[in-house]
Amino acid sequence: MKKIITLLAACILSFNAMAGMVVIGNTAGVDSLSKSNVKKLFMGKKTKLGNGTTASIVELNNGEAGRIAFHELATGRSESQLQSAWARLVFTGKAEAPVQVADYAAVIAKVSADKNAIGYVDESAVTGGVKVLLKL
Amino acid sequence: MKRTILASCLTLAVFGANAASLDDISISGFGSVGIGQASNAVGYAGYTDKHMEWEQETLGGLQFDFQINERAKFVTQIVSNSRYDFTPKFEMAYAAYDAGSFTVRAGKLRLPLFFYSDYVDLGYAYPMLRPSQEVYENVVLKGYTGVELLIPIEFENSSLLLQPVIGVATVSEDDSKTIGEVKLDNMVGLSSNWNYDDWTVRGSYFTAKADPTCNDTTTCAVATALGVAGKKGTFISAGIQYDNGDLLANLETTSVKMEGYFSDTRSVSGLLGYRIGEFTPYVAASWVETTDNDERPASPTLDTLNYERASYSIGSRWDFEQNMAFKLDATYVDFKDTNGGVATNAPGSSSYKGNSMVISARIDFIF
Repeated sequence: MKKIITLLAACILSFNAMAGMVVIGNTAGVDSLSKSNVKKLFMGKKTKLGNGTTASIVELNNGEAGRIAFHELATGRSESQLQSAWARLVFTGKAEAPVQVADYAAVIAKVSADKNAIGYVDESAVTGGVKVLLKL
Repeated sequence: MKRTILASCLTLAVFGANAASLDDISISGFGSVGIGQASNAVGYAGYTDKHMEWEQETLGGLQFDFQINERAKFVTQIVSNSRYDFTPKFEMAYAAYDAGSFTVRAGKLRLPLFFYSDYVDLGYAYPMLRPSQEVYENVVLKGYTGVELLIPIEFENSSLLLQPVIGVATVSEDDSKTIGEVKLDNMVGLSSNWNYDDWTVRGSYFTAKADPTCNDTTTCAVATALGVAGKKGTFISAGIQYDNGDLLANLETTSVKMEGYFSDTRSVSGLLGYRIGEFTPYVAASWVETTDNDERPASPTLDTLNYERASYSIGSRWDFEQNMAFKLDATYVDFKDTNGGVATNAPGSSSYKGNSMVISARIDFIF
């Protein structure tokens, strides 16, 4: 019985964690982003937002499960491919490396504090301080 | 690319307590450590058959980004390369200002001549062990001092980055070897990158006037014989890349022309790679030939400037650890019955050594 409860709990928890990834922005920033623009922004192929400002990209730390899950959906790139692509941009001065934080709460904190910030969190982590720009 | 405690301490020590807050400074770096050996002593990619060489692929670079204010920053990049006896060089030292719709950069910058030109030292950013020697070996023009703009233009489904450049380019004596330091005055050019989904199309055109400063009789004699002084050079390239995360294909063609007897060249290089988990096996081929053989009068010295060469590579990148990649490469070089751009390897001469095979391994990393 204990096993079944554990299994059930695990299912519910994992379901929660799989609620869906959303791209978020500051409440004073752009209203929405297309999937192709999200891909370009998170690969550094585009730096400007629709309102003309330079986006500040907020990422989870390297190797975080949420980061890997997001990129599977949004860019289709592995950790090493992302590192490679951003290294090229940083060392040619064409873009600034994304800010990296430890967890979704920190992503929300960064995005709610900067009107040009774009980040991603699991849908269940969204709070009133940010707005959802795209649901993946 | 995270700031490390050590780096922060270093910055504090260097810039003192009055420096800007650490939040305004970011430090990152890159490096490569490699070995290799060739089947003969021609010297392709710097390798000979004498022993395993450690001196051709090893380098380290440090970049400091200082945020001056919300829109402006100052960037320096110092690279220490085994090819130049590890003497540290400021490869970049520029100020950048984000004017909103474009960015202005002024100072010492890398020249975006061809596809990999502005990050040729950054092995971690490309899949192969080294960019095509046929395309990049002759391009000793790496940096310039001047001004450039970065103009991003957004279309509905694609984006374009225009990079007009104006300034003075310098070929250091280490690179030019035969004719001393060469300044390229009145250099103007444009590099453009168009991104559409997983496609990148790149084109560039640069023109400049050569002004060699020889400082000994040998280099002066060579510079005079080649008639390079005051002559115009043009550098044109077109490239296309497809990268969907798994499949990677890159094709580039270039044309380098210099008035006078200095070799004009055209080249093509291509690479095909496929990512399988942590591995990216690749095959690559490239070719170069001189295009102005008829313009030089026949003479033993000037004939050495006529050549053709092809190379074929097979290798793999292995992303074995975060921010680190191991690469293994075997390249066969066909000198096409010419000296292949290596004057001492002339067919028929006593020093002729024939075609070469170079095997090398390298670890690239960033931090």
